[in-house]
Amino acid sequence: MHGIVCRMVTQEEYPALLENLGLELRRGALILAVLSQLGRKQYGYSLKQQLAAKGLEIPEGTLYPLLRRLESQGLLDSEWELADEARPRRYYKLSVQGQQVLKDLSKEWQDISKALNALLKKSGGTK
Amino acid sequence: MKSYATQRGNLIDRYIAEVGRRLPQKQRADVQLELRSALQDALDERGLDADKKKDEAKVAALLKKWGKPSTVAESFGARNFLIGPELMPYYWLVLRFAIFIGILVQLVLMAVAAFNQADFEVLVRGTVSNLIDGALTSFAMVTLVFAVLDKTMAGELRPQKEWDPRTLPEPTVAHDRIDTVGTLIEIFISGAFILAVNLAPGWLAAAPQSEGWDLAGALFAKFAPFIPWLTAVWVGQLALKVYLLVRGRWERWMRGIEFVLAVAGVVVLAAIYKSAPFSDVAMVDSIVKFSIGIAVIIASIDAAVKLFRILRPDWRFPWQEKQFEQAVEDLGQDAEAIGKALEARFKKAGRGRGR
Repeated sequence: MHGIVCRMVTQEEYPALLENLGLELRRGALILAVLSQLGRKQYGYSLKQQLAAKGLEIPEGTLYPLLRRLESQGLLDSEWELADEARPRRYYKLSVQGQQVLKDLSKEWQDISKALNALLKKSGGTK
Repeated sequence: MKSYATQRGNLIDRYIAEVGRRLPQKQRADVQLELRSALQDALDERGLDADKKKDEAKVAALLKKWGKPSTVAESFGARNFLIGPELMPYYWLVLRFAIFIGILVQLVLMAVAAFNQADFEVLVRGTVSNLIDGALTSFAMVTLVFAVLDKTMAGELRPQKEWDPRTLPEPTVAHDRIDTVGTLIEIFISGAFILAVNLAPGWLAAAPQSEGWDLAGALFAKFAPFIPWLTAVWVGQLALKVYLLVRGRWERWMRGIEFVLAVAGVVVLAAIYKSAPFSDVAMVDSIVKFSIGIAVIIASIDAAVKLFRILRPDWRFPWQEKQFEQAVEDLGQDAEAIGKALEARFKKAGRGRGR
């Protein structure tokens, strides 16, 4: 005997579900966004501001761990510098490997974007 | 903006300390420093000063936006370890408590065996071996239980109620931290010594006897009236160390009690000194008197140092300062110390790498 299991998301659960799916969707894109802005060295907060100015808000709790992860993967180099009035800041910059990854991922992004736009157009998800 | 070295105890410091408490030691200092730098940028952008009372509500709102310390620690990779950030503080508390109970049980067993007049050397050897076994077993059991709890219940253990940064505890600064292993060893040695002096005092007076002198017996008879007083001081010091171990950090009132006990020790030693002569033999009397005199001086200096530490908790010798800066990267927990070390490093080199 076969049965169909169907679970409806309640109205209360919907915002959380949408937020989680949105986060998943953004996760990969954020890596590319961050890499794209680190052709010149930047510290975390200036990078956040720069991304926000271009329309991409990243919570600090996401950005700083991401920068560290990318560094541990060898895509970024970092160094501490002493800014004004003795404040140490950690500056990040693309490594040689990071530059190559940015180039390859950008191409990948363009392909995915093109394909997705076509798919969404057909399914009526976008105008 | 204030210097990094002078910032301490405000909401930002407490927040950074709480995140650090949940991070593995290896990455703690580095993450804390970057977090401090980033939070300071966020404060500057909003024109806030974490040290000003009028800004406290806004600083709290900013921290709330950044997330709970456990969440921040988790995002920095603390979740990849055996015990995650939610349970880490409780793990340390229970581990300390379990090891303390283990020591207590061993000391009680040792006392019971001493009452039954067991051979003292065999007794000490057996206790040390049991103690090591007990400590390792306690460590393994507690770690295992917490690792299982973390894997199965960490999500449920997260507090669901709204988080308020103003409830963050004060950070533990470098001079208030305790050396857990050292304190454990001190507790064990002090406990064994107190028991030995009170239950089997004969071995303490085991000085070689020559030409029929009953030197050990005579000396012991002289010291015996002071044993209850000495024991009272030692038990007080032992109780303080046990509480310190369970508490995990020094507090000002505990330093006060430590000083009072040290003074009490000096008074008892001075009373012993005043009870001279210790022997009919002039040379023996001089030696014992001299030794006790030295003990009184050392104990007095120790008490004075303890008092000075209460009055000037941040003071360090110049050579300690250098060692301190060196040790900061390993210890990491103290935001003030990290800032100081980096400032010193940058001042020297002008510019340097973070790791």
